[in-house]
Amino acid sequence: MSKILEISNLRKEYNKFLLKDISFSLERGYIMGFIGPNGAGKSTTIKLIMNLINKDSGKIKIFDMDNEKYDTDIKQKIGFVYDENYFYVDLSIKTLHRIIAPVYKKWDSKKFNNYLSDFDLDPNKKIKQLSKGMKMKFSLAVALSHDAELIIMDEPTSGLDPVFRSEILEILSDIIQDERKSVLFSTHITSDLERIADYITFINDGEIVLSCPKYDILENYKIVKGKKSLLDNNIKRIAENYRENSFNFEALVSNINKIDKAVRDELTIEKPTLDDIMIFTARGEKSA
Amino acid sequence: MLSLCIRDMLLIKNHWKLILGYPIFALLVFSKLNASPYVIGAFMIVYLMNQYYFYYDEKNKSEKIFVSFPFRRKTIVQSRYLSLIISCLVAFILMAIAGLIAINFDVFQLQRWVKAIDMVQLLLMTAIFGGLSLPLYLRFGYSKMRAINIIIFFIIFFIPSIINGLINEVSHPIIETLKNILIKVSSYNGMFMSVLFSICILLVSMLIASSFYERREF
Repeated sequence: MSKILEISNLRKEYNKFLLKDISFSLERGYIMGFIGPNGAGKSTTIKLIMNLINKDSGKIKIFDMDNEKYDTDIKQKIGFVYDENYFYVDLSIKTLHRIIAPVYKKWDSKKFNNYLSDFDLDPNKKIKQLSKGMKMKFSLAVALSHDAELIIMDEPTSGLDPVFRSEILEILSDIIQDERKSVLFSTHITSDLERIADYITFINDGEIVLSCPKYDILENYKIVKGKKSLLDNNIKRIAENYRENSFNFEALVSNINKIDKAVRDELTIEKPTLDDIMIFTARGEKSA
Repeated sequence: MLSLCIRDMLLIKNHWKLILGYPIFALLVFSKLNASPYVIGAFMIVYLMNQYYFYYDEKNKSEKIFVSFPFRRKTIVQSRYLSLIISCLVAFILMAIAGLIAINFDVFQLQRWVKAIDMVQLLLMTAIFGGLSLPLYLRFGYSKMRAINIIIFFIIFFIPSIINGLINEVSHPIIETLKNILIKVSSYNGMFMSVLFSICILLVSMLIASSFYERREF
């Protein structure tokens, strides 16, 4: 399978934040959820992919091309949606269409107008007259109207109500029916990803904690709960993280089989959500 | 690059009434100045138009979008210089039309219509203004540079009036030398040299602005 995005040893020191030599890749035809708490490095990574900031070291290859050397060729095939609106709010959708259409070689005005109609966007309305959800839909219409092969979305659903979020997720599912296309979807609302993502890359404090298929994560990781007396050194050692109170404990483990069978039988074992995994892992040092 | 210049024109479409009405105001106010009201008025329009371009970019943080589009950063910079030249031409044409109307209806006591030297002077002022301010805008943004640009604008704005005032009212060897230079500038050779000088300022400024913009982070 060919890689549409490949990041190796990417490093950036930026506003008292360090992105620590991160590596991950995305194959064609898949949706990757890029998750992590606020300030973990998601937006910095996306800015580096889009060449909005300069990297200190490392490599970013998109469509097998260096993202700095072939910047404009690559961007012809990228659709992007950012966390907030950056289009001129005093201009109408129609006027922005006039500005954006000549930018892309493969711009399809018919497709754009179809999206406007599907999304119920009035071309005569100014951007400032649109709700946050409608602005996001406009960005999405722009991102999808030039046959982009890689869609990069930085927190597109944050601040949107569940109905809008659900609509956007359905659109992404439709995009991925074309197996040439991939989506990198950054969010901290992990429930969105449980519905649509094929891969999950989890970043915390500038480091990649994991990057693998979503089902592997959800199958391998377990939350174990039990009486405090069962929290032995073995569980403390193998747990990604754990928390305890005077009576009970709960821990996130990636390989349940490493816990002695006798102990395991006395524990309650639950399937974690992506949120659980993120919360446990983001907490940092194992809490005593 | 053309689409970026069209963007600049579309950005100010809500202000066209003000920009179209401005030449009348400029002729009314500046017709009694020592300097050409056409040059001063047109330069004000150039300044206004360019302020609007950068104001809207900053207000909407839209540079992030345009850098994400498949444009070379160098192209984005070049488009701002092209928009500056376009604004210079638009401003001159507007002032010329306003002057024609004013002379025909015999208002504002205008002594003459536009001359080639007006265009050359406007180009020179625009080049000095743009040459200084565009690299700063492109490096630091509108809000950080607004105060500095107002100072640059006023220095350039008042220089022609001050020079004309000095020439007409003060007798000094330095002023005589300046007078001779200005007479030469008024000649075809002088005008050609001024245009060449303006182009050089803009080219050097564009190179500096490009190197700033390449390194800028969004």
